[in-house]
Amino acid sequence: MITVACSSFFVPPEWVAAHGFRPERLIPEAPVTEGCVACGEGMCPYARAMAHAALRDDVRAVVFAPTCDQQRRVAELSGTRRQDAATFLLHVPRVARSENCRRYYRSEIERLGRFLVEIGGRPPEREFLIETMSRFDAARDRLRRAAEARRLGTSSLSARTLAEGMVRFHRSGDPEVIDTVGRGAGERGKAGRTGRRRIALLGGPLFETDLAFFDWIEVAGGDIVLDGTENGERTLAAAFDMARLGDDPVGELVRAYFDAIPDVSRRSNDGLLNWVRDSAAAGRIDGVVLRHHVWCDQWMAEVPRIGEVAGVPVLAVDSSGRPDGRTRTRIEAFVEMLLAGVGG
Amino acid sequence: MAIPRSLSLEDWDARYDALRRDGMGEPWYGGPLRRHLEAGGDTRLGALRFDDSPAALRLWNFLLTEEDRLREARAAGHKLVGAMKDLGTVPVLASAFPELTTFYVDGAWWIPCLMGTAIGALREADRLGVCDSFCPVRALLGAFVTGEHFPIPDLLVCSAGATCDDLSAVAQRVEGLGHPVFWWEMPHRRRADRGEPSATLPGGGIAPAEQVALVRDELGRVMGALCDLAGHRPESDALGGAIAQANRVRRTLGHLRTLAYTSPLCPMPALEMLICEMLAIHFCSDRGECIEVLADMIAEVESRVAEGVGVLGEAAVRVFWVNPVADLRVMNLLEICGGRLCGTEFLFSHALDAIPEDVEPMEALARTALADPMVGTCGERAERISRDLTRFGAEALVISRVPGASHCAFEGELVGREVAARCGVPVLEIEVPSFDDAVEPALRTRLEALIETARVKRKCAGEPRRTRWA
Repeated sequence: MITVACSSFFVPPEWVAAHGFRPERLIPEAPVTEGCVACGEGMCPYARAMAHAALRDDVRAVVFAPTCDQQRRVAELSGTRRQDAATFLLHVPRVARSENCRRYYRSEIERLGRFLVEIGGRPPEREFLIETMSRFDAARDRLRRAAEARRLGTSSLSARTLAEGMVRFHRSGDPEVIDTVGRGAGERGKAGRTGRRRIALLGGPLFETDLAFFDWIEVAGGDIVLDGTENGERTLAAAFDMARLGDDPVGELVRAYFDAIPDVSRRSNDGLLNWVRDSAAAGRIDGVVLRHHVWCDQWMAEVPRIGEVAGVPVLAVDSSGRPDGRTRTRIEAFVEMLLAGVGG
Repeated sequence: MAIPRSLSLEDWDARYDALRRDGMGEPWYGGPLRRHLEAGGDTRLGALRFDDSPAALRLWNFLLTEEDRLREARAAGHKLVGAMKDLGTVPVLASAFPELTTFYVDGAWWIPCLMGTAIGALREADRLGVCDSFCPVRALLGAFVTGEHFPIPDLLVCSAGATCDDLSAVAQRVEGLGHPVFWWEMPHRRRADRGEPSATLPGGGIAPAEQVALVRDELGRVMGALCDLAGHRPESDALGGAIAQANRVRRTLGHLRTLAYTSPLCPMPALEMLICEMLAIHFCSDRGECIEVLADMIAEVESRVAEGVGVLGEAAVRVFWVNPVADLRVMNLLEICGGRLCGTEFLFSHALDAIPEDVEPMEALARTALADPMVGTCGERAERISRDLTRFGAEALVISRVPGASHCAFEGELVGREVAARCGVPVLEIEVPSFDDAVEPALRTRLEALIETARVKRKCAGEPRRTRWA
């Protein structure tokens, strides 16, 4: 099946799949340091890696839906560099409470549909669209339930395994891949989690190499019970309302994505802060590790407010995407502090 | 006519006394420049070189008394609108209401330029976790805490979407301090798809009609908020009148820029020209006075051009400047290094272009807002810069990076390469921190290298054109 790569959680993969393509979320494995195409000083390492990832020649097209300034520039670069010029930039309105913006997002989804048809896709039959949406919805529901089971302590799945499963789901474009989550992984028993500090990992997108964070926190005595990074459960679209899905599938995409996903880029971003507050309370979180890329203004600026609404200690760690001893030491010290009951 | 001189703040003391003795009249906000340093804390004025004309004195005094004007407006019963980011559109909209006075709170960007970095606004921003990895606009956050640099507005309006992350993140924190922000959307400007209806924008760009409609509808929401603040809707032709007045400022400024940037001898220094251009954004909170200030500047420039006198020698290299500088002194440095300003793109070219008067006012303002160079691609920005650079006959391009700004990490290289390829001029990309003392020698060397390169190119003008990247 031909692949269409998507840069963001605001591009509904089921919409791409219903047009006959395999939707793949671009999640760079690691930062790029050599042969750099966007290497200006002050460049976000993730945006730089995206600039490279978008040049892959095994994808038919790249759909960008940038939620920050640098990703928007990367989309432009991709548009000028890709020989086939098959780059689509979907503008995700930032203003959260404007009916104009809601309509515009819908219009952008429909424009994306026309683009997909232009590059060889087929306009989705209504029934096929609904069926495809339902399959993705079911897969997300299983991921959400797996995350909830971890929070409740009724699952033996490790946080890292779940995070890897999320990445596999985003990358594969195949809802059935969820069946393999956790399979073959060496799992830790439920009993091994008692006495650990309950950590929320928040922030923007993670490189695959960043999954080391999960191990570090676990080894230090913590347990990530809430993955609020861009790859995690925070950015999963809301569950579809099956009654409305039949009436207006595209409208349901707008509701599940544009209306429901809390993100730091939204204005006002009180949706994110409410989500942090509610999730921290429901998950009985002991501490927050907020991981942001170097130069990421949006997350850096919100660190103090996230601490206020979560009501627990926050450790903000910047990262260039390469696991490093300094960051690991800081995380260990943070978890030790929580274990000692300091700062709570 | 006397040859214009470049004056230090000390020089201006004597010059001011002499002008007063000779009977120079001044508006109510007039006075010696030194008072802004001594009473206002604008310490960086002591490091600048100024034009010696009464017109320039009035310009500086107008700029540096804006806070007083805002406080007087409030005392007179005006409601204050604090706009953010759109640079040029919301003030026109708000000027349809006689009881509203609008200013850009993100003008706090310039506070460190005038007061240095040892100020409470930056200390407060640091304390709130917005450190110097952000662009100087972070001073805005601290200014809301200290309340020292502008009166807190009655309404805050900020565009979001295709904007820089620094300002957007800082404005969000301002809201977190308990100052509600009215957000409106500015989409990333894209090319129209095949067969899709489109509209021509001021400055020559094109945008899909759907995007113009979105911005028009969003500005309609802003208008609603302004009506709520004012307590009534604007008079039927008030918005059209506001656009006509804004265009008067823009046309005046356009004439001034053409005179200053195309005359054989440079008739007005770069620093004063930068200040003049800034006036277009929100008229420095007094549109009528703004027109008078610009008229004085035009009269001064016209008389210098007519008399064949300038502030720099004939050999000065004509330089086009991109992005505002975080330290105003760098505009002086350009001239010290042998350059002269011949064209600018300070990220608000859409505030200099005339607003269409042949379409419905809200549609006209939507098109103007969408012409913002920051909401489009770097390629389109480079295209506009190339066109203006050619028009003004510039021989070199300086791209001045704003420290910490999200867009500067990327756009300089793209814009520079594109303009170099199109126009065949040497290009220099520099970063200007808010306080350039430490890097001044390096900046000077790099600017001198650019000027030398342009001079060599001038000598070789008969040879085939080559693209150079300085």
